[in-house]
Amino acid sequence: MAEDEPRPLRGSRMFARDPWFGLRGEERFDEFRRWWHREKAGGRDLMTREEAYDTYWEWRRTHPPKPGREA
Amino acid sequence: MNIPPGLLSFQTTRSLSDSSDEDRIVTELADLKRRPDDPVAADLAADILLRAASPKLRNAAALALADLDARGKVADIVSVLRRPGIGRSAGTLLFALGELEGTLPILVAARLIAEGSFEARAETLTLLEDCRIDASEGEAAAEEARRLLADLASSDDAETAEAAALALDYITSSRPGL
Repeated sequence: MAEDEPRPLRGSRMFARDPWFGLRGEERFDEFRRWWHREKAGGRDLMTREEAYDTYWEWRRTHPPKPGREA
Repeated sequence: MNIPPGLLSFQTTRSLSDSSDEDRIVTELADLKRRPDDPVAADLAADILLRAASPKLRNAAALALADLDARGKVADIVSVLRRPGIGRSAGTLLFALGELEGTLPILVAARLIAEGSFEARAETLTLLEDCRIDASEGEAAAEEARRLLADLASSDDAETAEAAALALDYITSSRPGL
């Protein structure tokens, strides 16, 4: 699997103490979270875990790390 | 302060003529952060937050308050979070509350776990993890919250059950008496 292809959802209890149910363990999560709250269109929430993961991976595909920053 | 035209119009009429109106107000709310020393800016954002029916406007207003570091307006964000049905569009309000280092009443938190979107649950749990819980509304409210979460923790819906169990863990570990 290529590095930035969406991964399957992780096991539902793999990160049982993570408020974002595993998503917080992904790279650049804090950057994604800020982007989502500040730039999302329409003012709607991420409704499901699947949507959250899909949105994260789409963001990661379209927002590569800036040069000089760690991936 | 010269009130930006979109905000002034909304303040006066409480209505939007179309979606471009909404986009304009969102842009003007974002621009309020350039006026950190103007007390009217935070009042204006809080007024929009409390009166707007549109989640997009409420979110923009809450973020404007966070950008202005308007900690005196935390109660206004919590007031919106108490509204029935808000849980489906509460994620950014909760994020802004966290940015302002506010606290979430325990029963409001439990209801957001019960009825919220994935995002609202995640942001609620983030606040609980950070011990941003307000239990000042008394033992009855705390008990009701605890009972609601305990019921949800045995829900057939796995995501609901997991979120409720995690919320109970955070509450118990940060406030052993609750």
